[in-house]
Amino acid sequence: MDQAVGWSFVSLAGFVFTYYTIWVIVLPFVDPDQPIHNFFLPRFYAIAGPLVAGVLALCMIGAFIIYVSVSKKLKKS
Amino acid sequence: MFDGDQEGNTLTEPTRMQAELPHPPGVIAEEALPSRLPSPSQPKTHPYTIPKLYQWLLVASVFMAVWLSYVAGYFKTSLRQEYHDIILVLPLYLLMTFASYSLALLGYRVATFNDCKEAAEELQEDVKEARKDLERKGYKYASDWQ
Repeated sequence: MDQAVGWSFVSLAGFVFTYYTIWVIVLPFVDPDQPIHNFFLPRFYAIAGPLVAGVLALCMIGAFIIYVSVSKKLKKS
Repeated sequence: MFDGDQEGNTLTEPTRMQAELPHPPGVIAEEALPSRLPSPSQPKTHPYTIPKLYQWLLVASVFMAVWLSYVAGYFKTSLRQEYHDIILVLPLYLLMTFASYSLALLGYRVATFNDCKEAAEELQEDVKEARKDLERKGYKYASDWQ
């Protein structure tokens, strides 16, 4: 079971890396009329997507920290 | 870089950059001294390796300096439009590469973790035996541990 989770992480990381690499680095050199562009969103989302995901991640981390500290304070009082 | 504490991560002793001194004529050689006494004639050097975090920060700040100077236009370049587009996105791309690399390394370490079930069970048996033995000899347990 643990092995399945581990290998799924590895494959997900590999897929994300290759997709993002093709999106950001390979596609600018490809002519706009090639069909491969249909698999990728406009370049704007290559920057907006990770930024929004990063902001969401930071918000969730902050919310978790606040939750833990507040619950600890309530437990003490 | 996730290989654990192979390089110095914290500075535990102050660095002393003294060379090894030769024996003056009147000093007893180090082998003749009892081992618990410190040897005054040959102080040891403590090599200091820069922690990995500071190494990464150094590389990151150098890269950001170069990249920011390019983006702000402090030097003239004659690059193709595609290269310019790629360089503009480079920090985010490197961050994504680092994130996917760490995810892959994490998953790989989880998947290839050497979990010895037989050794764990053997250890549990040893614990039970020791506990029974001690209880037989009259040892009283303050806390109940498994």
